[in-house]
Amino acid sequence: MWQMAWMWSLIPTSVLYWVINLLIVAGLVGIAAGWIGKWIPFVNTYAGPAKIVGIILLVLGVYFKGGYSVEIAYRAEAERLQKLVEESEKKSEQANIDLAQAVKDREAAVNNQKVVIQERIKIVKQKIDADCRVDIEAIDILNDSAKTIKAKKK
Amino acid sequence: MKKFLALITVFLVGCAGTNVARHFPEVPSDLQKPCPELELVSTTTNKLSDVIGVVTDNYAEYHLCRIRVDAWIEWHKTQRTIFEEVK
Repeated sequence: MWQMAWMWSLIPTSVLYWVINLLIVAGLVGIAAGWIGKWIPFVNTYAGPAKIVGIILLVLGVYFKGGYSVEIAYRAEAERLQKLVEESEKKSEQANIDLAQAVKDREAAVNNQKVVIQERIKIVKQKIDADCRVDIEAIDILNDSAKTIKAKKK
Repeated sequence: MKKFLALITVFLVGCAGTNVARHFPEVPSDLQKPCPELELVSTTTNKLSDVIGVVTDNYAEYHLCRIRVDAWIEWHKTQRTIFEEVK
Protein backbone atom coordinates (compact mmCIF):
# COMPACT_ATOMS: atom_id res chain seq x y z
CA MET A 1 0.00 0.00 0.00
CA TRP A 2 2.98 2.29 0.54
CA GLN A 3 3.53 2.34 -3.23
CA MET A 4 0.14 4.00 -3.62
CA ALA A 5 0.96 6.55 -0.92
CA TRP A 6 4.31 7.15 -2.61
CA MET A 7 2.64 7.69 -6.01
CA TRP A 8 0.23 10.15 -4.37
CA SER A 9 3.16 12.06 -2.91
CA LEU A 10 4.55 12.61 -6.45
CA ILE A 11 1.43 14.46 -7.61
CA PRO A 12 1.38 18.21 -6.81
CA THR A 13 -1.19 19.19 -4.17
CA SER A 14 -3.09 21.61 -6.46
CA VAL A 15 -3.47 18.92 -9.18
CA LEU A 16 -4.76 16.40 -6.62
CA TYR A 17 -7.22 18.96 -5.28
CA TRP A 18 -8.71 19.68 -8.71
CA VAL A 19 -8.84 16.04 -9.85
CA ILE A 20 -10.68 14.96 -6.68
CA ASN A 21 -13.14 17.87 -6.85
CA LEU A 22 -13.76 17.11 -10.53
CA LEU A 23 -14.50 13.45 -9.62
CA ILE A 24 -17.06 14.53 -7.02
CA VAL A 25 -18.69 17.07 -9.34
CA ALA A 26 -18.77 14.57 -12.23
CA GLY A 27 -20.33 11.99 -9.88
CA LEU A 28 -23.02 14.44 -8.75
CA VAL A 29 -23.71 15.48 -12.34
CA GLY A 30 -23.94 11.80 -13.36
CA ILE A 31 -26.43 11.02 -10.58
CA ALA A 32 -28.46 14.14 -11.37
CA ALA A 33 -28.44 13.29 -15.09
CA GLY A 34 -29.57 9.75 -14.30
CA TRP A 35 -32.42 11.05 -12.16
CA ILE A 36 -33.59 13.82 -14.52
CA GLY A 37 -32.91 11.72 -17.67
CA LYS A 38 -35.69 9.31 -16.71
CA TRP A 39 -38.30 11.85 -17.81
CA ILE A 40 -36.58 12.99 -21.01
CA PRO A 41 -37.45 10.92 -24.09
CA PHE A 42 -34.55 9.26 -26.01
CA VAL A 43 -32.09 10.24 -23.21
CA ASN A 44 -33.83 7.97 -20.70
CA THR A 45 -32.04 4.95 -22.29
CA TYR A 46 -28.76 6.25 -20.82
CA ALA A 47 -30.25 7.34 -17.47
CA GLY A 48 -29.53 4.01 -15.73
CA PRO A 49 -25.84 3.74 -16.79
CA ALA A 50 -25.31 7.48 -16.12
CA LYS A 51 -26.62 7.02 -12.57
CA ILE A 52 -24.35 4.01 -11.96
CA VAL A 53 -21.29 5.81 -13.35
CA GLY A 54 -22.24 8.87 -11.29
CA ILE A 55 -22.45 6.83 -8.08
CA ILE A 56 -19.09 5.16 -8.79
CA LEU A 57 -17.43 8.53 -9.50
CA LEU A 58 -18.96 10.10 -6.38
CA VAL A 59 -17.86 7.21 -4.15
CA LEU A 60 -14.34 7.34 -5.64
CA GLY A 61 -14.26 11.12 -5.26
CA VAL A 62 -15.34 11.02 -1.61
CA TYR A 63 -12.87 8.19 -0.92
CA PHE A 64 -10.02 10.14 -2.51
CA LYS A 65 -11.11 13.31 -0.69
CA GLY A 66 -10.51 11.45 2.59
CA GLY A 67 -7.15 10.19 1.31
CA TYR A 68 -6.31 13.72 0.15
CA SER A 69 -6.95 15.13 3.64
CA VAL A 70 -4.69 12.44 5.13
CA GLU A 71 -2.06 13.15 2.46
CA ILE A 72 -2.11 16.90 3.22
CA ALA A 73 -1.77 16.25 6.96
CA TYR A 74 1.03 13.77 6.21
CA ARG A 75 2.91 16.26 4.01
CA ALA A 76 2.58 19.01 6.67
CA GLU A 77 3.91 16.62 9.33
CA ALA A 78 6.76 15.50 7.05
CA GLU A 79 7.66 19.13 6.36
CA ARG A 80 7.64 19.98 10.08
CA LEU A 81 9.82 16.97 10.88
CA GLN A 82 12.18 17.73 7.99
CA LYS A 83 12.73 21.26 9.36
CA LEU A 84 13.42 19.88 12.83
CA VAL A 85 15.85 17.30 11.40
CA GLU A 86 17.69 20.00 9.41
CA GLU A 87 17.97 22.16 12.54
CA SER A 88 19.21 19.21 14.60
CA GLU A 89 21.78 18.33 11.92
CA LYS A 90 23.10 21.91 12.03
CA LYS A 91 23.27 21.77 15.83
CA SER A 92 25.01 18.40 15.63
CA GLU A 93 27.63 19.77 13.20
CA GLN A 94 28.26 22.80 15.41
CA ALA A 95 28.57 20.58 18.49
CA ASN A 96 31.15 18.46 16.61
CA ILE A 97 33.15 21.54 15.61
CA ASP A 98 33.15 22.78 19.23
CA LEU A 99 34.12 19.37 20.57
CA ALA A 100 36.93 18.89 18.01
CA GLN A 101 38.34 22.30 18.98
CA ALA A 102 38.11 21.47 22.70
CA VAL A 103 39.92 18.14 22.11
CA LYS A 104 42.69 19.92 20.16
CA ASP A 105 43.14 22.49 22.96
CA ARG A 106 43.26 19.78 25.65
CA GLU A 107 45.74 17.68 23.63
CA ALA A 108 47.94 20.73 23.04
CA ALA A 109 48.03 21.36 26.80
CA VAL A 110 49.09 17.74 27.48
CA ASN A 111 51.77 17.86 24.75
CA ASN A 112 53.14 21.12 26.17
CA GLN A 113 53.28 19.56 29.62
CA LYS A 114 55.08 16.53 28.12
CA VAL A 115 57.79 18.81 26.66
CA VAL A 116 58.19 20.59 29.99
CA ILE A 117 58.62 17.25 31.81
CA GLN A 118 61.17 16.03 29.24
CA GLU A 119 63.17 19.23 29.74
CA ARG A 120 63.09 18.77 33.50
CA ILE A 121 64.38 15.19 33.12
CA LYS A 122 67.24 16.44 30.90
CA ILE A 123 68.23 18.96 33.59
CA VAL A 124 68.46 16.38 36.40
CA LYS A 125 69.56 13.46 34.17
CA GLN A 126 73.19 13.36 35.29
CA LYS A 127 72.27 13.69 38.95
CA ILE A 128 69.69 10.89 39.03
CA ASP A 129 71.78 8.55 36.88
CA ALA A 130 74.78 9.04 39.18
CA ASP A 131 72.78 8.22 42.31
CA CYS A 132 70.74 5.28 41.00
CA ARG A 133 71.11 2.35 38.65
CA VAL A 134 68.02 0.35 37.68
CA ASP A 135 68.13 -3.43 37.83
CA ILE A 136 67.12 -5.26 34.62
CA GLU A 137 64.44 -7.16 36.60
CA ALA A 138 62.77 -3.88 37.53
CA ILE A 139 62.67 -2.93 33.85
CA ASP A 140 61.17 -6.34 32.95
CA ILE A 141 58.42 -5.91 35.56
CA LEU A 142 57.71 -2.39 34.34
CA ASN A 143 57.55 -3.56 30.70
CA ASP A 144 55.31 -6.50 31.56
CA SER A 145 52.87 -4.17 33.28
CA ALA A 146 52.89 -1.90 30.22
CA LYS A 147 52.05 -4.69 27.79
CA THR A 148 48.44 -5.18 26.74
CA ILE A 149 46.98 -8.46 27.92
CA LYS A 150 44.62 -9.91 25.34
CA ALA A 151 41.55 -11.74 26.59
CA LYS A 152 41.34 -15.43 25.81
CA LYS A 153 38.86 -16.33 23.09
CA LYS A 154 35.97 -18.45 24.31
CA MET B 1 -14.22 -11.84 2.35
CA LYS B 2 -13.33 -9.64 -0.64
CA LYS B 3 -15.11 -6.69 0.99
CA PHE B 4 -13.23 -7.33 4.22
CA LEU B 5 -9.87 -7.33 2.38
CA ALA B 6 -10.83 -4.09 0.63
CA LEU B 7 -11.64 -2.57 4.02
CA ILE B 8 -8.23 -3.61 5.40
CA THR B 9 -6.46 -1.91 2.47
CA VAL B 10 -8.35 1.31 3.22
CA PHE B 11 -6.97 1.27 6.77
CA LEU B 12 -3.47 0.45 5.52
CA VAL B 13 -3.39 3.75 3.61
CA GLY B 14 -3.74 5.53 6.94
CA CYS B 15 -0.79 3.63 8.41
CA ALA B 16 1.86 5.03 6.01
CA GLY B 17 4.64 6.62 8.08
CA THR B 18 6.27 9.97 7.46
CA ASN B 19 9.19 9.69 5.06
CA VAL B 20 11.80 11.97 6.67
CA ALA B 21 15.46 11.04 6.23
CA ARG B 22 17.74 11.29 9.27
CA HIS B 23 21.47 10.86 9.10
CA PHE B 24 23.62 9.37 11.82
CA PRO B 25 25.74 12.24 13.25
CA GLU B 26 29.37 12.32 12.17
CA VAL B 27 32.10 11.72 14.73
CA PRO B 28 35.07 14.15 14.77
CA SER B 29 38.10 12.46 13.19
CA ASP B 30 40.26 13.18 16.26
CA LEU B 31 38.07 10.83 18.31
CA GLN B 32 38.53 7.96 15.88
CA LYS B 33 42.22 7.50 16.67
CA PRO B 34 42.74 4.39 18.83
CA CYS B 35 44.87 4.64 21.96
CA PRO B 36 48.44 3.50 21.22
CA GLU B 37 50.31 0.71 23.00
CA LEU B 38 52.36 1.85 25.96
CA GLU B 39 56.04 2.51 25.33
CA LEU B 40 58.46 -0.09 26.76
CA VAL B 41 61.78 0.65 28.48
CA SER B 42 64.83 -0.57 26.59
CA THR B 43 66.26 -3.64 28.33
CA THR B 44 69.81 -2.56 27.43
CA THR B 45 69.73 0.44 29.74
CA ASN B 46 70.10 0.71 33.50
CA LYS B 47 69.73 4.49 33.72
CA LEU B 48 66.89 5.80 35.85
CA SER B 49 66.53 8.83 33.55
CA ASP B 50 65.65 6.52 30.62
CA VAL B 51 63.08 4.71 32.77
CA ILE B 52 61.54 7.98 33.95
CA GLY B 53 61.50 9.26 30.37
CA VAL B 54 59.46 6.26 29.19
CA VAL B 55 57.17 6.33 32.21
CA THR B 56 56.38 10.04 31.82
CA ASP B 57 55.76 9.55 28.07
CA ASN B 58 53.31 6.80 28.97
CA TYR B 59 51.60 9.09 31.46
CA ALA B 60 51.23 11.67 28.70
CA GLU B 61 49.75 9.01 26.39
CA TYR B 62 47.28 8.09 29.13
CA HIS B 63 46.22 11.74 29.43
CA LEU B 64 45.78 12.03 25.64
CA CYS B 65 43.75 8.81 25.57
CA ARG B 66 41.65 9.99 28.51
CA ILE B 67 40.86 13.22 26.65
CA ARG B 68 39.51 11.15 23.74
CA VAL B 69 37.42 8.88 25.99
CA ASP B 70 35.99 11.90 27.84
CA ALA B 71 35.28 13.53 24.47
CA TRP B 72 33.40 10.38 23.33
CA ILE B 73 31.22 10.56 26.44
CA GLU B 74 30.61 14.27 25.85
CA TRP B 75 29.87 13.61 22.14
CA HIS B 76 27.33 10.91 23.00
CA LYS B 77 25.54 13.06 25.60
CA THR B 78 25.35 16.09 23.30
CA GLN B 79 24.25 14.16 20.21
CA ARG B 80 21.65 12.24 22.20
CA THR B 81 20.18 15.48 23.55
CA ILE B 82 20.05 16.93 20.02
CA PHE B 83 18.55 13.67 18.66
CA GLU B 84 15.81 13.63 21.29
CA GLU B 85 14.78 17.20 20.50
CA VAL B 86 13.27 16.02 17.19
CA LYS B 87 9.75 14.81 18.04
